[in-house]
Amino acid sequence: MKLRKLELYNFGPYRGKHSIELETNPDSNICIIWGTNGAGKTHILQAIKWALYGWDVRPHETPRSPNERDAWRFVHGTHTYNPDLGGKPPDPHMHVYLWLEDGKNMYLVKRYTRPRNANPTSASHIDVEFVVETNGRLTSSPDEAIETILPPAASQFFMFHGEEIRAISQRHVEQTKKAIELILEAETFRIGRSDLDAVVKEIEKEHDEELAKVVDLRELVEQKGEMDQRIDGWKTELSGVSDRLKDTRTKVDAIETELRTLKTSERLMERLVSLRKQTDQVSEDKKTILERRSELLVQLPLKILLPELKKVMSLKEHAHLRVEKQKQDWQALQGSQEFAQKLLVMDQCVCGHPIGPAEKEYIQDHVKHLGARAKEAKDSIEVEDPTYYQVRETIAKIESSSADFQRYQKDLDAKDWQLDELQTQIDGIEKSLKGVDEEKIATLNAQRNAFNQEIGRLGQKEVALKESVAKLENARERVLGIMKRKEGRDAIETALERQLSLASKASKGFDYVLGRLVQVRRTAIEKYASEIFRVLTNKPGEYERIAIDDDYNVSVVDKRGRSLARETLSTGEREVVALSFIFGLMKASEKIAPLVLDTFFVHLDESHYTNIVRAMPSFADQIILILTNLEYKNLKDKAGDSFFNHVAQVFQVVRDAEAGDSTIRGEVRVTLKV
Amino acid sequence: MSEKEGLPSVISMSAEAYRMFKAMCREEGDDRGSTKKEAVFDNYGQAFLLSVALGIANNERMKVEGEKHWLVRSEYLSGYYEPYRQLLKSRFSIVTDKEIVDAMVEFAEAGIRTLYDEFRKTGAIDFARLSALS
Repeated sequence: MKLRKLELYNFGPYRGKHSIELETNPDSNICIIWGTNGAGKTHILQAIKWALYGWDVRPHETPRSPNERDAWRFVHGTHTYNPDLGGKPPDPHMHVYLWLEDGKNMYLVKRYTRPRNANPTSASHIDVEFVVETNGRLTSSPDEAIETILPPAASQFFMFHGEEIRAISQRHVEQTKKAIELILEAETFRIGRSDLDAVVKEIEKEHDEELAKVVDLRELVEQKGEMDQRIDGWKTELSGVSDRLKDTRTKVDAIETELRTLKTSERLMERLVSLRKQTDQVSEDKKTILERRSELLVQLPLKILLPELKKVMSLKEHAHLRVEKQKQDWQALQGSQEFAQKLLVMDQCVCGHPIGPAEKEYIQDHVKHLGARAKEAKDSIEVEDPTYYQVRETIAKIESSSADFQRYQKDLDAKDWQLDELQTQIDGIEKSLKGVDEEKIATLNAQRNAFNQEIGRLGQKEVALKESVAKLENARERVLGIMKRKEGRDAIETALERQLSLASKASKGFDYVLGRLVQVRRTAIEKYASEIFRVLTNKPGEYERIAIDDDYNVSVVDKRGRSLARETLSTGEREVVALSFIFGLMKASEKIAPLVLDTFFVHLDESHYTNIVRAMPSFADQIILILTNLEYKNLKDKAGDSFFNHVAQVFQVVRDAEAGDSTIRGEVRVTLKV
Repeated sequence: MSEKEGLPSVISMSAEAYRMFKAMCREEGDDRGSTKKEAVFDNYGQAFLLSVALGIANNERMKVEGEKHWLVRSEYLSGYYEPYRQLLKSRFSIVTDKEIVDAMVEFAEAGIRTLYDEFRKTGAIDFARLSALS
């Protein structure tokens, strides 16, 4: 990975847009950026780190997520290292763009601020946007792209300030160790193992949960066994009941078959009983009719005598009428006499006309005459027959009598006919029924009724047993279901255990591979670091090589094979050891990234300086040296052409004190000397 | 003493007539009862009164000659006697109950023979037909 171009906008001391384009010729792999103190050299390194990681990553710091404060401190016009003091930048827009290529892909890393309001005064008023384009296309995950380019933890070995070298060489703390392993890609294995551990824990958790879900299988088996026994018992009982039911039904069928044979006779017997009842009824009716006979026989002679009585009555009627006439005549005469006497008493006529003496005399004579005639009429009245009324009454009685022998005889004949008819039917039926055993039919009917009652009782018991069996079978099915689920869970458990075993094996495999990898890589680091150390050290006759233990603690082994404690080395030697380790690490990792060294040569003595300068071009494919003006002067004086033949570009950072900003001036010095 | 009070206590018929009555009547204590062939008359009184009526209707009467046979107590006839009395008294100018009863016996002597003749021939008496005579 090589840096092709860097563009700044309002970053740190750089107001407005500034950019540098870097040559990437393999033989001219060094770019120098120099300037006075405070001119803005280190901001170049910080700009690269901010663009890549969002914050100024330092050795031994745990990589973290960037925030707006990391950006705000770099915005031109704010206090660079004390953002809490505030500041109002003239333009809150800031960006750093990096163009990187790895021979296959071109990456454009863009990180920039976007103010939330028109006049932002603090970090909370801005947002930071971060995008990565790969070959002109936006990358969906910029952080993953950065991991590919150069992980933040590894950046401490590629981009560092000279003062940090000592820290790297002296403190191989856990973060550094991790960073080393990250560069060696051992971390990948660690992550893999960690993932596997997580998988193992997940499987164990799932396994425990599965175990907690199911009840004890033995309990289920016992429960099912009890159910089986009860069901078997009930089924046996049910079978017995069903057999008895079947047997009883067979018996009833046999009886009904026999009864069907006798059915006709049965009906005939019923008919016979009915006919006999009818006969009894008709006989009763006839008896009632016959009870009238005695009275009728008494009335009959009177009916026969009636014509004779009427003849007698006719004679008596004539005599009676004659006497009545005689009585009327007498009464008429007597009435006339009484009337005449009244006239005489009243002495006047009914019309009021007074009766004269002649008339009175005449009336008196008439009264006498009438009296004589009335007496004569009375005397001539015949003696009435005293039996007249008796006979009339007798006739009336006879005529009013309801006695009707003809109707009686008709009713009697009808009853006799009914009786004959009934008797004929009875005789016929009795003839048909001759030999039929009525008692047998009755017995069969009784048996059938008894059996039917038994069938009803057994049927109810059978239904109850079937219901009980069905209920218990359902319950058993549920238990079986639970058992099956339990078995299924057993299978899951087995699978989980297998997975657990596989994951453990894989984890161990990772551990082994990691161990081997680390060992191989460490050996490689030792080899490369030792090669570089032998070039850089000013005591090649004493020191044999660099040794690295499991924790990446670096030591020097002398020609006698003794391991020299780091504390016994001088500061410069420790820096050389650290540099050797870093460069050995870079070579061993085979990772290609720009090597940015800021103020690198400050602490080196001349011997080491000469050695490093001589070896530097081989340290990395692209080296960006950030130097003070003094370092640059020394380099020009001491390095000579053999070094500067590898320098492609030289840029000077210039500070404008009045304007309060910096600019970058290019000094193209590329001369590839063959 | 009224005319009724002159009723003889017993009515007697000729022996021949008695046999005829006996043939057609159920006697008291007769063991034929309901199990034997039904009698034409329930008692002698019924038969006697019907014989009297038939004799009167047919205007046939016979003197009772020879030995007489006790037939029925006249008290059994008391409830039915009045119409006969009225009729016979009116038609034959007889006055006393004895005369009337004698007349009735004579008519019965003739009437029973008519009935018996039918009974002898048919085994029964067609009372309905007799009823139609009125």
